[in-house]
Parts: sequence; structure tokens; C-alpha cells
Amino acid sequence: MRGLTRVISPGDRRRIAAAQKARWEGRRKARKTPDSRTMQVNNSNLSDDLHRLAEGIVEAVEQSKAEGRITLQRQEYVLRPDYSLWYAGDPKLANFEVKNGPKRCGTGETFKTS
Amino acid sequence: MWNWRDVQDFITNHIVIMPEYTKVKELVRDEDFVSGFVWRIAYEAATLETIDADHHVRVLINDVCGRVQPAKTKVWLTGITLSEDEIHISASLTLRRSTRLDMQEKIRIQDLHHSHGFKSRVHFSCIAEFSVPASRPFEHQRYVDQLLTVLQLFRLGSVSAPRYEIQVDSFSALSTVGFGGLDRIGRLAYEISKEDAPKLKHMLEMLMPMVPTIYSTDGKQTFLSSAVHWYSESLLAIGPPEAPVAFAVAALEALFLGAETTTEVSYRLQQRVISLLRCFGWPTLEMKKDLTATYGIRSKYFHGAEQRKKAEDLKALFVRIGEYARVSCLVWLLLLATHKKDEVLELLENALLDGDTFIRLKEWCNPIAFATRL
Repeated sequence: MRGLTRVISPGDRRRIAAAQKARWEGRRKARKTPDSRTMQVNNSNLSDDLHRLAEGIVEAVEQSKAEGRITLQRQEYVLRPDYSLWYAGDPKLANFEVKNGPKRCGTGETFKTS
Repeated sequence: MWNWRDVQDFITNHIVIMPEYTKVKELVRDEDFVSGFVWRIAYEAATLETIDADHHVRVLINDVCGRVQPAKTKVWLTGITLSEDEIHISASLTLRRSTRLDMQEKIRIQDLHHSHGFKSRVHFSCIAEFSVPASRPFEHQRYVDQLLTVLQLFRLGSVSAPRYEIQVDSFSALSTVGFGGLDRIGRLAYEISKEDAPKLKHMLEMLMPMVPTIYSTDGKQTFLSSAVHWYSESLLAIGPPEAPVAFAVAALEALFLGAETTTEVSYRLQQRVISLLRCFGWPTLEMKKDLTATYGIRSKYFHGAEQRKKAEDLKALFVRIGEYARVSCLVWLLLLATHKKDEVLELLENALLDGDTFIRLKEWCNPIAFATRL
């Protein structure tokens, strides 16, 4: 999940909420058009179409794999302390490599370890 | 791993040309959903031994129909400490201390040297995890915003969410998203124990539907939303020690004054606050003294005059005035369910002069829990 996480500044939060709301309102209106309503009623048709599409995709992938046209790479990850987190609860928890104990950082409740 | 550029090329060259794709796109219309679905199926087909196509079809149909879908949300919280590792507040909400797993991050090896470069600091003291059913992404944000407000009203604590992550089973572009960046280190924290869980649960059930939020659908500003905003600012104020005091007074002003109150503002504010809170056992003379002192501090701070009070005295004063603001916000939230602001203000003024009116005010206040002085 972290890889997909976007960090958004508080100033942008309201604008994003407004944009999202407008977007979803647009979608809701779009769903009220006759075609969309038909689609909602015929969920089983849509389900069949989606299954057919999924099968088609899987077949295409299998074929490409068999022909050697899909190259998969090995991805390596490192698990390390998240240095952006400053935990006020238990300072020992973030004590991955601390020699002289946690340092107090002036707030009276926050510790940082490095 | 299948490189994303290769996936995109594969989809463009092999999938987009399929008649099944064209048919689905005509039906679904939303490109985000179709593209997410196609990517997921193709990627899983290439990298996994089996894929659960039925599940993905179900999720897409839910998306298209705008059905309510549960979201897993993880919120890093400030201002609350826990007496034990994990406290279950309700079936869907758990507060817990951080584990070592929370403090770690998984990074692609090629990003190792710069991955933390743009991350903001996240001060936190506990983690809240919950699952909320919602049909639109902003409803999750609204829930988080309202939860923070209720936690701020539960006790006096600088509760904020410097980071939160929402995960929904959906093909929406916002199905997995993190919000963050609010880096404020509050002045106050309170502890929650197992014994507090039922009380907090009850409060959440009562207040969540009515607390004002910036994510409300009508987007209207009301005196209550202003008051809750100023109260929240007082808890999270980053300025000098006068700032939280001034903001707490601003919260009381928003609650107890109106556009028509232009004279004897300080006096009327005192009278009305005292009239209401004495119904809940708050000592009147102590309140009068605190309100007089804090109104002076508020005026000097807002007008730019120098203060001569010590920081420790200001902090002690803030704890008291903050409590008045907290309890007043709670009482007003619940009173407004059955009464109008003007009615309440009139009753508050008359209750100081007339015994019968005071009894009537007490009757209005009796059903209100949470506000009694401990």
C-alpha cells in the first residue's frame, strides 16, 4: 500500500474533496441517463461481458507468455525503519540501532530515534 | 514484476482491440474503472498462478452501481495515549499502540537513496483502525474528519491525524490513498483506557451523525461549525501560549454570541456561558473569573498588544477555558437537535433572572450526557 500512497498537503485537501465531490456528482448524473440505467438493471449481462473480457485478457497473456513476449523482472525490496514516523508512545519500539537511547526532542511527548 | 510500460504496451496492442473490451467500455463508460480492471486482470494473469476474476467482476459492478463498499482506514493520531496495547471501541473501531511493523517501510531497492526525501514528518501517539461503509471516496474522508472532532470533544486533547490511509476494494483511482502533511505538535494529550471504551462508543454513536465537517454535502458554514473549528484550532495551535486561549474564547463567542451582539460582548458572553454550564455543575464564580481573564488575553492577542502573563499560567488557564469550550460545543450540538439558537440564547439570559426559566433550562439540559463536571 505504501508504494501507492500519495501524501497531500493540508491546503490541497479541501480542493481535492471538492473536486472528488464534483466528479462523483457527475458520475451519479451520468448513471441517470437511459443507457446507464439499462446497464444497472442488466448487471448480469455486464457480469457476463466482464467475465468474457477477463477470459480474453488471460488468454492473451498466456499466449504472449508462451511466445516469450512478456518479460518479468525480479523486484527487490528493503524493509527499513520509516524515518518519517515520530512515535510518542513507546520510544523503544523505534530503537532499531540506537546506541545511547532515544533522544528527547523538546515537545515533552515525542521521541526520535535514528 | 512486470514493468508498467510493458503492461501498458501489452494492453494497447492486445486488449484495447478486443471486441469484448469495446463492449465493456460502452457499458461502463468510466475509463478509470475499465482501465483498472484490465490492468489488474492482465498483471495478475502474468505474475500469479491463479486469479480471482469473479471477485474483480463483483468489485467493478459495485463500483459502477455506486454500491456501498467497506473501506479499511488506518489513522495515525496525536493527542491520545492508551493504557494498553489495544482497545476495541466498537465492532469496527480499534485504537492501538504502534507495533514495530507500523514503524517499518518497504522500499524498492532502486528507490532506497531518495524514497524518504519528500515525506513529511508524522508525529503520532497511537493508531486508529476502522472499517467504514461508503459509496464515494470523500465519505471516508468525512468519517475521519468527524471521528477526529468527536475525539477532540471526548476529552481535552490535541487530537489530529498527521497521516491516514484508506483502502477500498474498488477500481476507483482513489481506492488506495494516503493523506497527510499536517505537522502540528499539540500541547495536550489524554489517555484512553478499557473502561472508557463504552462511553466513547456511546458518544460516537450519538455525535458522529451531527458533528459539523468540512466534507458536509451542503458545505454551509454555521455558528456551530465555526465554534468547532475554533475549538479544534485551540487544541492544535502552534503560536504563542496566548493563541490557544484566544481560539478557545473565539469558540465560545461563536456559540454564545450572534451577529446582533455588538455591545457588552464580554459581559454577555460571561453571562450566557455561566448560565448554561452551571446546569451541569460547573462552579459559577470560578467560571466568571476565568472568562474575564481569558477575554482580556484574547483581545490583547487579537489586537497585537503585549501580554504579561507567564506561559505556565496561560497553559493552566487554557486547560480550564478549553474545558468550557469543549463542554459548550457538546451541549450545543445536542441542544440544536431539538431547539433553535435564538430560543436557547433567550432562555440562557432569562434563566439568570427567573427561577422558573432556570428550571425549564435544566429540563432542556437534563437529557444531555457527557457535560457534567467530573
